[in-house]
Amino acid sequence: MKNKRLLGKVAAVAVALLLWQAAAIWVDMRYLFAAPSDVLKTLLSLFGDAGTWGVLWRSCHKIILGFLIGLLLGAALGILAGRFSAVEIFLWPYMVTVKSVPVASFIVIALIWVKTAVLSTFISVLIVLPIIYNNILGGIRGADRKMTEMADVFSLPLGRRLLYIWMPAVKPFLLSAVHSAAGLAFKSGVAAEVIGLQNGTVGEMIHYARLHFESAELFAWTILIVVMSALFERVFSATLRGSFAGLERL
Amino acid sequence: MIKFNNVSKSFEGKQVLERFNLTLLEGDRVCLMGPSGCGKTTVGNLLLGILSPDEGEIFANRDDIAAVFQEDRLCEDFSALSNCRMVRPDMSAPYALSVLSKLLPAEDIHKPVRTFSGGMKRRVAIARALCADRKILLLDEPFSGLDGDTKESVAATICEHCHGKTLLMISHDRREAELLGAEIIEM
Repeated sequence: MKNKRLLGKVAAVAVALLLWQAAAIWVDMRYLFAAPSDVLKTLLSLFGDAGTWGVLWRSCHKIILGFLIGLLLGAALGILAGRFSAVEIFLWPYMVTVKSVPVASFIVIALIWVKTAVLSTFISVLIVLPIIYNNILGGIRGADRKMTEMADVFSLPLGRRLLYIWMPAVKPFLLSAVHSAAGLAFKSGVAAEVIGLQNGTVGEMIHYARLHFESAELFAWTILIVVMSALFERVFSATLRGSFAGLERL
Repeated sequence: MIKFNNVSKSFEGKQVLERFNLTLLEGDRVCLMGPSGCGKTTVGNLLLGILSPDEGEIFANRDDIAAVFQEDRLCEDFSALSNCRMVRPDMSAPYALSVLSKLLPAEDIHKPVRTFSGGMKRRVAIARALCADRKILLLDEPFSGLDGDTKESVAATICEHCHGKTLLMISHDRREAELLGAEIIEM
């Protein structure tokens, strides 16, 4: 059954690639609409260029740093808000603002406040923080009332409540939040690089590829950053799952 | 000591307890017995502070009370041993193991509780309350889901660990009260 699904997905991708190739032949303007074969050639040449890895490193480490700061801040604030409703009320206007203001507006505003070098990190923090905060808060609020009563009866201190009562309640929320937050951190981080013209980053490469009508290069860099984002999300989620399993064995 | 002084409690207009009085001294063993809905579990929840009385007073030091709830209320993803150690940070693993080994097969002690049957979970809930090692033990239907022989061995373990402690049991089965040597109070 699983193999059948996988085969189906492979076939769907193959059909999509064929349609893309056909569309590129029909449009017949490579600088505007590159064919998959051109993108593949560009990708291979990028792989062979040592500078590519430096560009990817500069983009990824800044975005991942922002993701991790957003995760830690969001988790800490979510726990505090779950424990003390006054904190939730106090944070409400900030969280609503961060959640509802368009990313592009934030990037432009942030350009005034922070150096271009830290722009993608800053934007990643802003995007990740409310997602993690809301999910942690939802998990804590959704914790079984009877388990909380049990914790009260046995006078469990905060650390043990975190581990035994809140962690199991928060786990599914956090895993799903990490899944969406990681992807959004990369998307918004690269958007910040494009708008802020961060030096030597994927965003800058995409910007110049667009300026020079190098659509094959534009697609190739986009594919590279999508792959990096998916890889990071997989590795981080697996690490998180492993950490939860380790804590449950304590 | 536990003292309920003219305690009344109602839920949505339905009077469950009316001027209820109960006094338990150190070392007393009492079983509250009565039909479903007569307020037995309400007495337990009032004692634990989960509910507040509408009228009357309850005297008891809540820090001295350990409980086996009507439901198991276990941390399902954690092992039986973790569930027991959770309630007493200073308790050594060998002590928790010694309590658990009387109630569970040794090979199950380190398994996650979610893999257990209902009866095994009940025994973990009892082990957890015993490991808390408090002066008062509240047992709300402690033998539910256990078969006859298991009830006897579990009762023996409770008696062994509750020597000199106050025990308040809630049940509707007279034989279960007798297993713990508890005085029966009809409600």
